[in-house]
Amino acid sequence: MFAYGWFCKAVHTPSRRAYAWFVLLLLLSYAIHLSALLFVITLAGVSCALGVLKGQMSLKRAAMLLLPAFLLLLFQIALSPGTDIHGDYGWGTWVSKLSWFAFQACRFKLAIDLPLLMAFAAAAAFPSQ
Amino acid sequence: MSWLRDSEVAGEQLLITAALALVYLITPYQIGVVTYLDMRALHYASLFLICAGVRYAETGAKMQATQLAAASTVAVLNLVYLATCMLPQNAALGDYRRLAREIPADAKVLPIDTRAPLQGSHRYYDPFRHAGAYATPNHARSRHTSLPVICSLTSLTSVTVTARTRRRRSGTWSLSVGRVPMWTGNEYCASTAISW
Repeated sequence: MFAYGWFCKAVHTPSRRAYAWFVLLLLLSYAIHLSALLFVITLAGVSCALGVLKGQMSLKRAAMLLLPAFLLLLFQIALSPGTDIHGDYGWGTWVSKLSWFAFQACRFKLAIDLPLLMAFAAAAAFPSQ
Repeated sequence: MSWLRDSEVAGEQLLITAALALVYLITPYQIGVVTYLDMRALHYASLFLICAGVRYAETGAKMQATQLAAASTVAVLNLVYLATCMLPQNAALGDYRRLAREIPADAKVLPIDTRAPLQGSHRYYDPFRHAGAYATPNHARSRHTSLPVICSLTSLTSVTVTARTRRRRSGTWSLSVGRVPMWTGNEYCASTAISW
């Protein structure tokens, strides 16, 4: 999240310092856990794609911003340091994927947990204009 | 692309939320012995959903009031719900602790949780599984008090256990580390006890 914060700052300002902090924190988070890199690519990728499609950011600038993350991803795929990428994969079933979607909300009684989760989502995302 | 240019103030946050939900769907649940890999994206999805709400709230005083009312309602409902479920559990654990206090020093006790896990199909919440472990260090009156090792590992025949031990004579805390043989079962296994 800190890396993405500096990424946002680098997007909205021409600051090289912000970009340097973004790259540094990206490296640090990647060193801690691979999932951090995947999340940063997702977050930064959406922001860049939206910026380009809205005409607020050039394709070249988006590519420059995302380059460090994709270089690290290539490094990971090529060398897979410390990760057994050949291990057994398990996706589960569509039913299990969908039923676990509300995993964070499930605590005591599903009949109450799910409406509460939906109320939370509605309160956050769909306020009346 | 005009809809994008005119998109709402929190459009980016909502798109990120959707992208993270997609990451959850396409990520494997398990690689080798590592599980719950896909779940990690959902926590961030919730976070960006909250960020979207905050962005909406920044658009004006009326929106702030709406957001505050909605968030307060959800929070109060959630707290009431938590209280109705957790206060009885807290009372039950209090009974357990009172019972544990009656156990004589140096007695050999194997705590067994016989309650069914809540929402058994997913087994996400099983608050009393480790109640015995909570009670043992709390009421250890002898340095020979033992704590059985309960775990949910399936394919290991031994495990290295780190236990915090209170030395009664010196009154200090120290660490003891040992390798403990285990009985492997279908899902859960219990070791021989480690000295406490």
